[in-house]
Amino acid sequence: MSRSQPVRILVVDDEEHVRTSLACWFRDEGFEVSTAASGREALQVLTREGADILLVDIKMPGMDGLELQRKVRELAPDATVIIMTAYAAVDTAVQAMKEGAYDYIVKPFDPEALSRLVRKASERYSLLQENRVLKARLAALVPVLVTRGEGAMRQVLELIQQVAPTDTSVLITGESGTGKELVARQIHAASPRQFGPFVALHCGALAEGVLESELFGHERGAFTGAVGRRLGKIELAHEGTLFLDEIGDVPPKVQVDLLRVLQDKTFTRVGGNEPIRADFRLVAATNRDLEAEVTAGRFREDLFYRINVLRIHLPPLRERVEDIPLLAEHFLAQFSRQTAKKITGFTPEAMAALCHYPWPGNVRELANAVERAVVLCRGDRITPDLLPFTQRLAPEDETLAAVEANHIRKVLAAQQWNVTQAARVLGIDRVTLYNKMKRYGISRP
Amino acid sequence: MRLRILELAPSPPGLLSYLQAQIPRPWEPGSPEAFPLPPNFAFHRLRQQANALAILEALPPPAPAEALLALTTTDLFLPALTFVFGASALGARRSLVSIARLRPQTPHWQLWYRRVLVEVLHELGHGLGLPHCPVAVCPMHQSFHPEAVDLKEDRFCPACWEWLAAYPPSKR
Repeated sequence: MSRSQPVRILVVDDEEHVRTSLACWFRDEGFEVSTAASGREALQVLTREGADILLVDIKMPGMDGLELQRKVRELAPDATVIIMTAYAAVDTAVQAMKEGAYDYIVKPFDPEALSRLVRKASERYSLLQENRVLKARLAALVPVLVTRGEGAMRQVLELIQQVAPTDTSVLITGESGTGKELVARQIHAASPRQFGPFVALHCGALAEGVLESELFGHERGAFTGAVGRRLGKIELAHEGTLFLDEIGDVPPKVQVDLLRVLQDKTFTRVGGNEPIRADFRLVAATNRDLEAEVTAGRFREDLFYRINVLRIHLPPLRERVEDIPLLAEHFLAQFSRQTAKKITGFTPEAMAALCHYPWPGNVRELANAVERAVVLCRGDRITPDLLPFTQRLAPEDETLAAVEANHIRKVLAAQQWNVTQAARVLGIDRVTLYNKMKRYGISRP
Repeated sequence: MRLRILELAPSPPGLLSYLQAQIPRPWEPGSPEAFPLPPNFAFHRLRQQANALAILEALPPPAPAEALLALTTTDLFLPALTFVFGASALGARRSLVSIARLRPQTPHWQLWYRRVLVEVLHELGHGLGLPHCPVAVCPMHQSFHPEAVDLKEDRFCPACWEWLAAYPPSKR
């Protein structure tokens, strides 16, 4: 028998026998029950112990049910109030419902009606809780995209809203750190597949065989080390969304297999013969120029057209300077909360520095810089000296790429060439760091 | 656990011996005792029902390792509710069941007694602290109509049974 966290009921009635009998009844039902003989006592109990559902008698000496309900709304807005009334006071109960009571029930109660009503109220309570958890999860994902509604990001958000309800393949392009995975997650969260899985795979830096196995899964004995059957990301994404990051890095052979899955909606595991149906929505992302890759013959044209049905381009942060103050304030609030610091904002000089910095690592780098500043801050405002980039000013004639390459070299050296740690310090992921090292020809001396 | 059966009013013939034979462990039913309450005790003249809470309070406290079951022929109510088949103080080993509302409309004593047994098991379960059970055929499932009692079995579901087997709670 499942005995999860019980719903807490508070019975408020000036008649003792009503309180006692309802408490007895609800305890049998498995609820946690408190009672109060007056509105004042009810507020005390509510403050002390909390309550999810309140059964409130409308007519009580002193504070009546209506007044109590208003105070409950202020103290515990999520609590569900059910009004108990006699036939003569139904009008008042209706008034209470207009003011936000969930329902009313006339004394004496039919046991079945009472049970049904409280069950409905506890279901509502569970839904409210679930809603709150989901909103919190979503809020944790979405803020990086938050913008005041001007310029390129507004178009991106509108595009997400338009494309999410469809099953169209989406290609997200943009520099590292612009939030491509967040966009993919938001598309999934707003789509009819939202209750299915969101499965992400970073295709960069994976060898062909490993990528194949990651995507399609394998049967036992398919290759040395395949000690058991393993499901691939495509199979795991059934009825959900498959997010393939760095799709431009997928090797030619795997491109062919991927194209076949997208065309036929079936695939076989590595080392297997059984065709498996695949029902997933593909969202792919890249920081490469895929058209150029197609022209150069490194990316299949037919696969490109399959995945590039709808494209969302995420502009780099340096092209949407107007978003920097808002994002910086958002991260400041978030990290201040996490570190329990009371930091009220940025000094004008610090904000100007933030707005003038080119942010090669984009939003991820901004978040990292603000987090670092919050940790180091001893006052109530962030000053320019707390921002990491103000401490390593480059010569003015140096290119952005050279500054980035030098900085990567410095951080790698400081981290004894541990790429994972260096990536963490730089505020980018490991794969992106590998790509940048490759691009700038950086290798361990 | 010894089960003390108190007969608040004379029961129909054969009911008590049927219950004694059918009530499972952990209860061990003893011989029924007549326990008449004062005339019209807890009786509500307008409702033509007796107040189950008042009767429960009037029952003697059970001895250690003893549970108490009172049977009445009068229909019962709780002050806020229109009727109840029975009542218990959750975990206090005191239970009350009325046979009045469980009586079938056409004479059928086997059906009647079986309904009484199922509701007795329900209230005895509450008496030990078991709450309602989501399993539809378990005696601890909540019923609002006599016919709904017929859908339940006269033995506990595995989860409730496991709970009872581990009684008293200190054993768990």
